[in-house]
Amino acid sequence: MHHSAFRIFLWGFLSISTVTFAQQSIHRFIYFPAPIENRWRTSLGLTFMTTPKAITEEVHTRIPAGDLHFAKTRGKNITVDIHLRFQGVQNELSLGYKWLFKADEHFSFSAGNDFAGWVGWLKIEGFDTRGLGLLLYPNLSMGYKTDKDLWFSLKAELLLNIYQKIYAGDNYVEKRPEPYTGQALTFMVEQPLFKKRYVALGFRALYTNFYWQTWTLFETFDRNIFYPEIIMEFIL
Amino acid sequence: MKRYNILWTCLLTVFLIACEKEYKAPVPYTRWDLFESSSNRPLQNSTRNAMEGMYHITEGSPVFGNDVALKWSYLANGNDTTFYLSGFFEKDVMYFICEGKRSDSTLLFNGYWRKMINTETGLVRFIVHSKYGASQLTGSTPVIGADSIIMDGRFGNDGQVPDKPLLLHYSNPFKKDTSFQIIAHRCGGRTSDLLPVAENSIGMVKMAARMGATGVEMDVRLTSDAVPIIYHDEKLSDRLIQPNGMLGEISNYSYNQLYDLVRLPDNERIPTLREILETIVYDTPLTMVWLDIKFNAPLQLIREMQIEFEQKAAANHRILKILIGIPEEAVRDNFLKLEDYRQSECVSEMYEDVDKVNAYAWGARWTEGTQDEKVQEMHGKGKKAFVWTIDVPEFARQYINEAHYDALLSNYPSLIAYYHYAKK
Repeated sequence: MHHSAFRIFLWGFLSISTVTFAQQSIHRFIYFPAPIENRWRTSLGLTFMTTPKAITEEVHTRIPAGDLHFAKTRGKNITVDIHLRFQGVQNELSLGYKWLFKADEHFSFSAGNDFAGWVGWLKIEGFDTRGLGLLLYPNLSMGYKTDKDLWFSLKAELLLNIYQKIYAGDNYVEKRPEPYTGQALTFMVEQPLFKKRYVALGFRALYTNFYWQTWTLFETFDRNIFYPEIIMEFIL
Repeated sequence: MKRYNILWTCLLTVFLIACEKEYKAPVPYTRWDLFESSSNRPLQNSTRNAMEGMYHITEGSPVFGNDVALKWSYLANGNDTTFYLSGFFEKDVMYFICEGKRSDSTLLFNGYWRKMINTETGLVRFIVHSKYGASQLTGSTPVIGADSIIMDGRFGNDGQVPDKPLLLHYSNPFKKDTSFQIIAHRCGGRTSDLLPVAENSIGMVKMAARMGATGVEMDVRLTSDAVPIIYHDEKLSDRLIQPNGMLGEISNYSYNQLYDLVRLPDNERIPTLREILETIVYDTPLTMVWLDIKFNAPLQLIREMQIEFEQKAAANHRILKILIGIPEEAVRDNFLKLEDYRQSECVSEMYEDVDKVNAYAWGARWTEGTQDEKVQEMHGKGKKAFVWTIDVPEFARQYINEAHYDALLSNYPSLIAYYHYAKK
């Protein structure tokens, strides 16, 4: 069941990617903190999180997740963000807004907050677990646009874990933990790949004592652990 | 140009945040001159036995919680035996480990505390004054009731002189349930928990009882020359050994190669199963060993050592049960090839094989829930039900208080000990 879900996810992702890759991008960036015309921007891609040895021990692997991102500028300087990260057995959906400030032709800034919910279930041999949780990601971004077709952005986020409920069989633990969970810094480059197809490539460094993709490990350390994440998206 | 400087600064910032912090929790230096005085005497058995029990914390509770279970353990070294008083707390998976002495009419305890969930640690010292329990405890037949012992303590952070109050009032004795087993994972705890000794090591086995364990689980592998050793991963890994450039599967190396070239993080060698069992039988009070078999080869040698060391324990007036762990089909098939497998006690992690291998216990995975019906079925068959490996405090509390398992395996034996001893 586990494998077939992943296969469906992979084939679906590849099909969508192939179709979208053949088209021109309507927009050139989605992470860069600057306003754009009043239309939805969309990107589709993959993230790869490397599991930290501190909690996964000898299993040190890169876990892919699908990444679907929508953004739309409302008015002059507010952007609404909808971001879905999906793996089938665990998924996170965030809704957020950003207030944008364009300093000059090159520099832009934003301040915002994302409200996210994650849900996961694992029912295979040895596991009968389910979990869900809520997080906030207040964030600040700085963007730099070059004279050529390149958009750089640096985003700093706080991770605030506000609710968790995890089941093992019929037993469950419900928590409203200390909200501060960690922080993340993301560096993104948005650029043309060829012709008018644009891509977003980046690296997200999370330093956190909870990350939704590893909820099934029931890690108990109260210390921040480093989760490196590579981001690759096509801007549609 | 300035703009590119900003970009490089951003990249450098990302790079710096990506440098993972190395966490450490070293045991602080515990010397206390008053405690080391040559006029001090060791405590009597009757004193130690009488002071075991649950204590309320009346000062220091913001750090340590509301109560603590105090339990003695020992470590033998030839004819020399050291006794340790451990305190097990629920809050933040804390524990303390002290040694005790008698000084005139007072009792002194000196040691350190540690929070297992993070790196916080420090010194802790207690005095039991004559009128607050020391006279009773040093009498020939101590009679102890609620509030009859007050441990007047001080604690500090890291190596600082302890100056913050920690006051413990005796509450009640432990209930008389000696059958429940607190089994410590990987001989006592994981290397990633920043303990002063490495996982699956002789040092860890020696420490296990101080951490609250009554038994230990360990990972058994074979070297290329068929020596059973204790090591968790399939491969040599910087996570478990000091980096030395050696790579690949540990089963490709001979015992002599590992002995000569490999050191655990605490500088020990990778122990053999024989060395570990010798230590358990002769140096510790542990009463159960769960051998998690991680190789696919005949089990005759393991079976012979099971018999040998249970006999040695009996000859040493020790109760010790050594169980062969069966985690998967390949090990089960090798187990069934033993001529006397029905006499060999084992833990089957596969519920459907429990009868087939005549298991002493079923080893249930905690992530499937408390599985009350299956546990009752095991008990109905005269078998035990163990559950592994619970570290989440809230789940551990539920499994101790609401489920009916006979043993619980954890990386946090001190937490399991707290819940077990605090159970009403």
